[in-house]
Amino acid sequence: MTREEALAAITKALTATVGSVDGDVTEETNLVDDGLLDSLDSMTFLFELENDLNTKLDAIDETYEDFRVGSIVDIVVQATS
Amino acid sequence: MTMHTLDVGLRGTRDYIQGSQILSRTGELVQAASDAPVLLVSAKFTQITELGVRVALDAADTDAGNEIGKAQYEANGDRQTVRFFEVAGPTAHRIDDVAKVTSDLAVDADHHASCSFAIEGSFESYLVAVIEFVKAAHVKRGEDVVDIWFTALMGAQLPLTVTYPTSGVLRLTPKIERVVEGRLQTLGLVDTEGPGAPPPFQICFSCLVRA
Repeated sequence: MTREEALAAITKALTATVGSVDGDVTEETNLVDDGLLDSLDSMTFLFELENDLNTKLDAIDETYEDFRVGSIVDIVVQATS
Repeated sequence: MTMHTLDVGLRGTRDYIQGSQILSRTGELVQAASDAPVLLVSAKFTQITELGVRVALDAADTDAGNEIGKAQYEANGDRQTVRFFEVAGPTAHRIDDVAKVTSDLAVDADHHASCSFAIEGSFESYLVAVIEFVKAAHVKRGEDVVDIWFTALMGAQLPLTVTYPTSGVLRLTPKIERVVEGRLQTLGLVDTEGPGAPPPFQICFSCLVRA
């Protein structure tokens, strides 16, 4: 999966979680710090993302805290390569 | 204003209002205002309360006090978001407990779980069974897992008025776990076996894992 495809998958999972998203989601967006997801939403977001990719993102374990989109793109690209 | 005080209480010896009561009483209000069958789609609780609960059925209702959660119901494809608020005042009244409705709980090492259930078949009785089951599955993780709370359900299509299976099997498949501010948050997929069972949905719990 390319970075663009990973970003599209992340945006899709985000939309499935919170409904519509105001503004563009870029690799610089931080889903938690920028207020797009709270801790409960982040669970749903990860569920939706793994479900859509049909891949378990092992790099995102129970202590994972980096919700910058670029970091998640890195993980998705690596997990799907 | 579309604020309503819900007829909820402290069931048995509990010192909190159950989410199942809040979602059921609210669902009755939403269904009463709709000609179409209403479904519960999602719910999220950010705080427990032993006080009363008010619900704002209209997004325009603001400044109603301490918000403790929200939910989405759906009728004819249209979604309605409602928000729950704690009522300032005395502790809620106590109401009779109900018997346990799940049995034969089995939990494996990876926290996959199953149980049998026997309920009257209403929306509320089904919700009680699901929450009782998932809470018991968390208890089975060990004595160091305490303070276990139902916090959310998502991706649901739970009708308010149809009859649910009066007996069957519930299954929990763990999907996501995160530690946030010292608490373990879990997200699992709930499957129901039984005639007329609703489709699978996600359920979240929060618990404290003692060191």
